[in-house]
Amino acid sequence: MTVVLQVADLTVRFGPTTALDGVSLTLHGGEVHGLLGHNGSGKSTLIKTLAGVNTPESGTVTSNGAELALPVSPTAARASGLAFVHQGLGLAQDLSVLENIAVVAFDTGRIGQIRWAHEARKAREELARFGVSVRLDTPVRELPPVEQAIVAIVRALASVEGPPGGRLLVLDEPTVYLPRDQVQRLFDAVRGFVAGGDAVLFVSHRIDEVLTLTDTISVLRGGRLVATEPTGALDERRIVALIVGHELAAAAPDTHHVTGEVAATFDDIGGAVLRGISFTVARGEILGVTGLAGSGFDELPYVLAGARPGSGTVALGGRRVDVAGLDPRAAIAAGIVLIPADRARLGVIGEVSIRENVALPRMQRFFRGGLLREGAERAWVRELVDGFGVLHGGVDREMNTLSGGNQQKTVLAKWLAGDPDLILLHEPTQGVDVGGRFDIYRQLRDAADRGAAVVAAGESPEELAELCDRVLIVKDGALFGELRGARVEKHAIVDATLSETPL
Amino acid sequence: MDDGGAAHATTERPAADTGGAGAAPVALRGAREIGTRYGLVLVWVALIIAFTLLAPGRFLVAQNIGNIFGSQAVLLILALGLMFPVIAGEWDLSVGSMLGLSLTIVGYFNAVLGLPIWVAVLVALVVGLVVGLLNAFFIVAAGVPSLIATLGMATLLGGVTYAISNSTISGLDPGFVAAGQRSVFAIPTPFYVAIGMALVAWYVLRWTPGGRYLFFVGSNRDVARLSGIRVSRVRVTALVVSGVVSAFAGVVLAASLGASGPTIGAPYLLPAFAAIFLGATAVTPGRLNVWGTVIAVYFLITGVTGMQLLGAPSWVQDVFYGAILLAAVALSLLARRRT
Repeated sequence: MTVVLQVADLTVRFGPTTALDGVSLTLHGGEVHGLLGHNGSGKSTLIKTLAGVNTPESGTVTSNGAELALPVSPTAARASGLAFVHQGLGLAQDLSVLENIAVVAFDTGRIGQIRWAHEARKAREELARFGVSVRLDTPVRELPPVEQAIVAIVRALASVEGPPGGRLLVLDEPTVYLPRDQVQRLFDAVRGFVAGGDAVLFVSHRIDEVLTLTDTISVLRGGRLVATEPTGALDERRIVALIVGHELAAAAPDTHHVTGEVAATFDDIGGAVLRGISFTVARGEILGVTGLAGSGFDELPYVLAGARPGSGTVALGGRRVDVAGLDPRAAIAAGIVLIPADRARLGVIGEVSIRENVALPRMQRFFRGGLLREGAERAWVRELVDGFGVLHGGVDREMNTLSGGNQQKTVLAKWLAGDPDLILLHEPTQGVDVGGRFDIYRQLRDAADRGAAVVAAGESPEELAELCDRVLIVKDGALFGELRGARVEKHAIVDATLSETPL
Repeated sequence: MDDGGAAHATTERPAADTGGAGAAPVALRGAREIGTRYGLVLVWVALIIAFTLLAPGRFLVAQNIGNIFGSQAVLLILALGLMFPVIAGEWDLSVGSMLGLSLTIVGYFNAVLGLPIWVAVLVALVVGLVVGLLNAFFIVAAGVPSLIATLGMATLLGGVTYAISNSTISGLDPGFVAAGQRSVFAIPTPFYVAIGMALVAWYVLRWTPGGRYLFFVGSNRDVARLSGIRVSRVRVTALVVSGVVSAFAGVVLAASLGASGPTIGAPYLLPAFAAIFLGATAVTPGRLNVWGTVIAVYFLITGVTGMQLLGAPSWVQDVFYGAILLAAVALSLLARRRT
């Protein structure tokens, strides 16, 4: 096997913090190499160093046998076939497929005009290699998410030079925004790509995906490389142990008591896709809701929290709440809180302090004698987020200074503080590393044990199995089935979402 | 407002947890922070020293100081009102024209129609309220981008002002004018009115939940709404505040000039924007804040007054205001990117 890229003894420091500590990694042609690690383990630093954003203190990067000058310049990266697809894909949603692909490097004609016909032919060939055939003038936003991801890959590859066989494609969390049923298509495309002798570095939080797709897995922890092993030699348990540095205790006790007392009754809930959804949830129960992308399951928390228009009624704590005309303010007053999936857009404001973010729904509590008592606010927020195990350097620092997992714990703290009756979540651990994920499960379980009802909509069967007491399956906007007891298990959940006959 | 210092002092966690950003020596960071927060004050002081040296015996004299503080109290009031919609994420380009309309209404109703001054003032303030509500209707209810809505409103109000009177009106109520032109400790009374309004604005923006709501609505409307804030109400309130405060600035201007004219108001728009954005580079850098705005207004006026004393042509004023607006916004964006 040819070595496409070799990183040797790479050390990156930011001030006194060592972000990467003597990391060595070899990426072979024809291989998908998975990179796993906690938030803060050095994954991002490594990628950014390859992309030339970070300057290493020592170490070497060798591409196809030639050592690169550090920091890696964009020109050198392009010339040596290093292509990056970052998490958000970075596509211009309103521009066409062709405009997105040809944005980096154009072939120009004699008077500097872009040779669009030529560009179009190249783009069409490349897309076809990845199994995508779309009209090139389609706006990117109209493509299914997986095709958008492939467009981003084609664009990244269009910007690099060098023939097939020596290129390295770095995919940073490419599946975060993909519906589960489209992940396989992306994987097929990735496998097809490495079959030509190129290499892929696949960075993901989802262990099951890394196990499915990759040939080799490397795990970073605290800036050090703790393992590089063939994927076949690893299993989920072993990987989790490598990532967190010790074996995890079982997240939730297998037996726990759902009181059986109905906390909330939902009647005839409808939304943009949802229709006629009726169910109940008990005090102390964590109810999962899942389905295929487009089934509308992910709409439920937003509709019930008044964040999106809907219909139906909720009976909660002896009160009837009309979902039509419900707004978030009224929902909060009724004891309903929402923890959305899209943290950056809906959950927190990154440029604002942790204190202000967390205290926002409860400002009146700190307004006494005509003055906002910031000292009391600060003390309250600090105690609260410390209680949720948020690692922070002071609550007056910007939200952005926290890792994804700590941000999510902060959002949890913000909403669970008032001991709400109904906690609604969408993708409760999106962008959260393994260790943080289990903390969040435990905190939700604690909230349920204090008497709350929890409804969590999510796509990950592992997560639902880990977190939930019962799982509802939504299909085409309607309730399709329910899994309880021993059937709340990964394979049963997958089967149920794919099943055509009602359970 | 030493939140930062207090928080760092009580931080219990080791610096390693913070990813290294908090690792600069405390003293050095403290100095840098003071530099960022009060850099504008230092530049202002430097400007005063420079003009004092360049125009000896003319710049740093009681009369000129009174002139600096008093003459542009109206600009400060206007800028304070403008802060509300801008913090809430809305542009209000109609404040200058609203000021001009209010000025003309006071002059016309009092001096031409002969109505009591309090009636004229009341009419001006009510018109300010209505204009604020109209802006809010177009922006919040109809969804017109605030830049467009208030640009239209600014032009419309300019036209209405001319329709009421296309010439200078003098002969306003003598008691009203005397109140506006009296000096206390060599500084005209409008200065004290403006400082009083700054205190009120500071209280509302800094010490009430309303100020926080305004800020969150301006930063991310979705997060604010999902946190239970009445976003529409906050936006409407902000636009109404700027309408009424602009009208009030027009009233103060009428008292200090003793006359009205149709072209006086609109030129206040740009310096008001320059002041609030320049103010956002000081005190609490990155956020619009009241004392930053106060400092910025007097910085701008010091610059303009000094240049006039040195005999600079009048066009220099526009160049100065425009350059400051560009520099202030660019600086605050650059500062933000660095952190």
